[in-house]
Amino acid sequence: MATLAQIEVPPEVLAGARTGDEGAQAAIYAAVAPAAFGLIRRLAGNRALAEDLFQETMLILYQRLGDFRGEAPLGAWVRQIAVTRCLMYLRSPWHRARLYASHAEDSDSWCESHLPVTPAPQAESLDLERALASLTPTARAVVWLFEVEGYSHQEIGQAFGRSLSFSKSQLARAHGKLREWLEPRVDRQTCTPM
Amino acid sequence: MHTDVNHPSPLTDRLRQLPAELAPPYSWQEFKRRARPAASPARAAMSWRHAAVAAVTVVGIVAVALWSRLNEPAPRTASTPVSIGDPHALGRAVGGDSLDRASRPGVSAPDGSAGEDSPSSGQRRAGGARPEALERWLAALPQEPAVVRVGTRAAVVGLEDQLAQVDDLLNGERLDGGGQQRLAALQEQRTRLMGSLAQVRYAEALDAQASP
Repeated sequence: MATLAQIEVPPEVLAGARTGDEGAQAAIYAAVAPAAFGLIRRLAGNRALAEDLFQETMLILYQRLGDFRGEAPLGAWVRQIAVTRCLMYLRSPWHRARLYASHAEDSDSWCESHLPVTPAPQAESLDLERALASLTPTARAVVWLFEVEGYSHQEIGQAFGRSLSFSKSQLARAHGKLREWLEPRVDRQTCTPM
Repeated sequence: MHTDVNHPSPLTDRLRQLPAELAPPYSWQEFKRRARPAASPARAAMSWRHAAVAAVTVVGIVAVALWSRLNEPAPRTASTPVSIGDPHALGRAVGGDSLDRASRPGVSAPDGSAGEDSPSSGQRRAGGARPEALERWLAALPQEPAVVRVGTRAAVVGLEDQLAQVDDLLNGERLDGGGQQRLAALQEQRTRLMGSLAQVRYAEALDAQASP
């Protein structure tokens, strides 16, 4: 399965989409939307929020398609837009207030809204999904960007408007929590909001 | 890009095996439908500050409506005509003493009753007329909410008053060993009010940041 950054679109489709050809625009949507939404869902956590950020990302994609120079795959460009939108949200004071308010939610509904819905997940991957959901949104974003998307600490620090050591310390702490979660323990809750 | 992509740890390996794609929330047709209003010139011209102010107005009205529904229903005694152009008249009609007080500090209500009575007795007197007056007022508004610039003081004071009242009710219910259902309803109401207050304060903070 190709990651978002690897998705390429034929030049003729791109040219058509730029001139307003609806068929070409729909083809681009079909090509990038699943991976874009997957990435945004990982970074945002909450499904409703992910839908909003996805809508924004796709809108920006079509509005700025004329600026895309084609030096990298289209997916890499879309990934940049999606990551920027998600991190802008994570850095906002509104997000922090919302996170505080969400502590009042009960465990079950929190898990439901934060775990990505994947068709019949295996037990192991479900464990990992739950472990990821137990991280703070910032820590989860750092883990995902570094481990899966291949961002460097430098790039993550820049994206968050922080230093390189911010990324390193977030990653180290998140790794510790993930390992702790994945080690078998009997007295642990199913899902712990952070 | 970092350099250790070729030597992943077991954890990294497991993370990369998680599905990278998820079914998008809606189809291309639905995306197009949702994108249409956002791309219209009127919406594009609206700044986030205007949106924040509009949100504050809506949140204030919704909070008053929610609070009125929590109260015990009382028989309607008289219907008070409400003028859309007069927010103070609306405030009196809906029993919003605190709203009226906050928007006109130091000035008592013309009928003199708001200054003498406690808020709870005022609310009891207004009773069932309040939601109806609000409904009529909301129905008379234009279909699309207009963007206006309003102060947030009235909304904040109103929400804080309501929070204090809910806290009092909660304490009373707990001391009297009230039913779990009633306690849960009050707690839920308190959470909603806190959420509304957080949104208003956040809008204030944004406005303060944006103002020179």
